[in-house]
Amino acid sequence: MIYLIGVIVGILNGLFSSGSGQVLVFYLVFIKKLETHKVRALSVATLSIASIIAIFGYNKVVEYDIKNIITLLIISSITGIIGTKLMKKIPSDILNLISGILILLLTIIKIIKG
Amino acid sequence: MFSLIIIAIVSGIIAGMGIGGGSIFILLTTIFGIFSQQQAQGYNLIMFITVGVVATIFNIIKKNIDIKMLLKIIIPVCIGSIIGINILKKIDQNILKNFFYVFMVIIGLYEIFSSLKNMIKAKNNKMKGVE
Repeated sequence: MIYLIGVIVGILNGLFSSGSGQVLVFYLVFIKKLETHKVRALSVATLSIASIIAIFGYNKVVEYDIKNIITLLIISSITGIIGTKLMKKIPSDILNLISGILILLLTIIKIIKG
Repeated sequence: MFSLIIIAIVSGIIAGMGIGGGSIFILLTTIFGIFSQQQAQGYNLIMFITVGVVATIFNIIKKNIDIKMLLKIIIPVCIGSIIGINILKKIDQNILKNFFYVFMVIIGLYEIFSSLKNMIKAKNNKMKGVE
């Protein structure tokens, strides 16, 4: 079963590049009953390795602008640390609720805008 | 460029909290017309790899990762990624967008319901403790 879930998570990661971590975390926490924070670490490790493979595929589909890449890398490294520090101050259920509402709202806006 | 910086700051903080920063980055950059769907996904991967590799090295040092489990799951996920990428190369952008909408609605609803369920459970446990 875990191998099948692995392949599905990989396909979602290659196809959408986001959200597949939630699927993996769901499976390992709720079905396999593993500890949440260890599962998150495992999910990040697995998907970053898989994403390195996926990025070679994206090279053929997407043209990158080096300026954008540098800007995004600098900002995400700094804000990533800020986010990690903030995370410890807010309960994880509240964080998940906010993230769920945000994702749902933005998706609706995107559908309306086409 | 200015709006890209603002979006990167917002989604970077959310990503650092471990709550779907990538999804929010893709949604915002495509809503504001900065990137096409595929471009947004490609840039998101680059950001995720950088932050993910640093976090993983940190987690390995801190012994937060179950290496046995990682070895078990990494090969199927990599095989899946190669399949996913090949689908992406062949699929029409509009179809990709529609699949993405469905996937995001499921993820969004799942996060809302699972967190509400946990909150209600925690509240009930607290009340039991008071009794």
